[in-house]
Amino acid sequence: MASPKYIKKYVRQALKDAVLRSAVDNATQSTVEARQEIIDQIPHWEGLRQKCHAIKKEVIDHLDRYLEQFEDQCIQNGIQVHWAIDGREAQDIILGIAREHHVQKVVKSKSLTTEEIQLNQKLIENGIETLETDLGEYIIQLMGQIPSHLVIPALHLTRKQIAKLFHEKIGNPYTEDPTELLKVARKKLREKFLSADMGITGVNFALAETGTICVIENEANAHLTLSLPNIHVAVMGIEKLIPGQKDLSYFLNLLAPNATGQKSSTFINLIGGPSREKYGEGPKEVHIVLLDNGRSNLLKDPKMREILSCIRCGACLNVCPVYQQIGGHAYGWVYMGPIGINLIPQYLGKAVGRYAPYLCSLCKACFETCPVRINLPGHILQNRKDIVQSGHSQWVEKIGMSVWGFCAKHPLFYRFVTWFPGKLQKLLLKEKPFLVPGYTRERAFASFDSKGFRKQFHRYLHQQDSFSKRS
Amino acid sequence: MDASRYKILEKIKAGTRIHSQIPSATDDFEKQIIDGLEAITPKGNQALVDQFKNELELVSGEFHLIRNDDEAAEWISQYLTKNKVNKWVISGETRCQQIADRIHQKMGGIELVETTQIGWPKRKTELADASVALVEASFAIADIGSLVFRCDQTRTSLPHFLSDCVIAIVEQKRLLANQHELFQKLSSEEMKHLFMMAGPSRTADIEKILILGVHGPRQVIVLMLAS
Repeated sequence: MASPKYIKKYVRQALKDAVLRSAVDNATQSTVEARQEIIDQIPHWEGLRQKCHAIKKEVIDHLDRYLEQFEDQCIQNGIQVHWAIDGREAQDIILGIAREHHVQKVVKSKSLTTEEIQLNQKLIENGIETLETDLGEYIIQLMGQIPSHLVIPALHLTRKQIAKLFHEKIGNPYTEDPTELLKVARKKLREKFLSADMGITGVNFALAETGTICVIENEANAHLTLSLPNIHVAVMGIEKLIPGQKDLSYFLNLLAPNATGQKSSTFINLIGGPSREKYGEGPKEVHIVLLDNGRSNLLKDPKMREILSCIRCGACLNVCPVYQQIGGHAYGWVYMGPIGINLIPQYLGKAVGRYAPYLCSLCKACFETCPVRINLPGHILQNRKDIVQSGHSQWVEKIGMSVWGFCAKHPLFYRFVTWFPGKLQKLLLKEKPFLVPGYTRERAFASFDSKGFRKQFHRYLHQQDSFSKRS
Repeated sequence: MDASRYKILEKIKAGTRIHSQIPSATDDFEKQIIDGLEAITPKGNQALVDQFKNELELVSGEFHLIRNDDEAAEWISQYLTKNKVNKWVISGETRCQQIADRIHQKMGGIELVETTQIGWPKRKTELADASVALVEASFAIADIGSLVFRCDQTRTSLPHFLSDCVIAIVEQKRLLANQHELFQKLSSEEMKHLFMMAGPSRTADIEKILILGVHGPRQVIVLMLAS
């Protein structure tokens, strides 16, 4: 999982998979275009980004205060609050709630946090039927895979693959018509909604002032998940807080355009406690699991704590040239793309995640796009630096940097080393580029200029000098 | 659990004691937002209605402006007849009850489910069978074509999500320009059980092809009662 070996293997596979690249390209480009159309209609877009950045900064820098306030309000609202240091503890808490209520069937709406803690596996291992209800997540679950995008989990699959999957796993007559495929899923899942004992959702935003959680969706599965079963469990990372209801509108204005290219998400649900007693429907009990799982470690870094501002919209993935080439599975974890490669070494440790921050060309498109203005490329560089300093860099890189360090300290040797490859290429390869094992398998190695950098740079300096004398 | 709570909060407190180096915003973004909202909000009631209609239609919703409850009852009667509806459902508002009564005085033979009159768990199975729901929205939001439902008024949220077609009545005077206006208007208590709906349920999870009616309504019809 997200290890250098895994990443190398899946990157190679992805680069050879033209269908995957085309699917990723189509999906990301259409979202980017739709997003831009909406931004063009909002003159205060930059103002919204700055406002949301400022709100998140305030919350992260005073996270303890907001968490305690949120907990107090939740308790007043009749919500049961649980704290989990890591994924295992969160799994145990949720399994404990399920066992206490003799839960046999669970329906889930899309939640990256529950993917992060591998909740489905835990519940299924313990004999509890656990079903994803978001269409993309349902497809992924049937496929036995993890999502390949933060927002569009089955983005890498074609309708033919989905048609075959449904035919084999659900047993419906084979069809490639998306509307028919949807009808099959709707019928199957409607039965599950009506008979489920427990519903599990994620949380998009949590309002500290009122102890209210906000769950955003397009399919209506989240609302059915949180309102039909007797128990609703919401799993949220501790960073999902915002101060109050007036702040929510800013985030709602930013989230949908960035996530799906919509002006607004179709359904926005606000939940402030159990409602069965009050309205004769809805859950009897609402539980919130506050998950740390490495998030509090990020607070130690006064700059990198900014990553906790992420609202998981996936906009950074859609503009990332590396993600577009390799898709989501090559990252080996539930978070991918520019935000993923920042989170992987932080959450999974530098030893496992030492390769992830290198899946970046430092083009800065993610920074330009991020709705909450997270300096993702800056943090990627910091992650790389930390990996080197902690001794987890690759041996090739260590040798390369040592050689370069030696050359840089010995100017004559440096001149030779920068002059020699150009000459060698001219003599042996007749100006053709070098073949570098591994590197040139998928792309060409740039040719050396026989004039050399030093010569050209001196000529440039000389020209500048004579120009300034003349003027 | 208390131990985990203590540990997490202690770690956070230790972390946040370190002076933050997250850059602060410099521009006057508050002014930018206020000016921007002002610039894109249509002037006048009719312009706001037109904006709501356009935005609703863009998200595949249907819009009709009607004069009063009688006209709403007439419109719904015709819809139920035309679509050969056998069973329909209403949410908990008085207006929905009154309109349903008028419809049933004129035409019988269609089973009506009054959500708030049915106990749990029968309620969910009864509602899942009904194909049309009549509901009343607390507010409508012009710039996104969305309806707002406060559960303290609807007393239920299931007809809105379980029926194939949702017919929502909303008074024109309840039309707001945007979500900023909504959240400034509502008290924190009113925000505790609330949901918004912008058109039918949808997905683009299969090859980014838009399909309506995933788990929720396939059709959302708004009847706006003119002021």
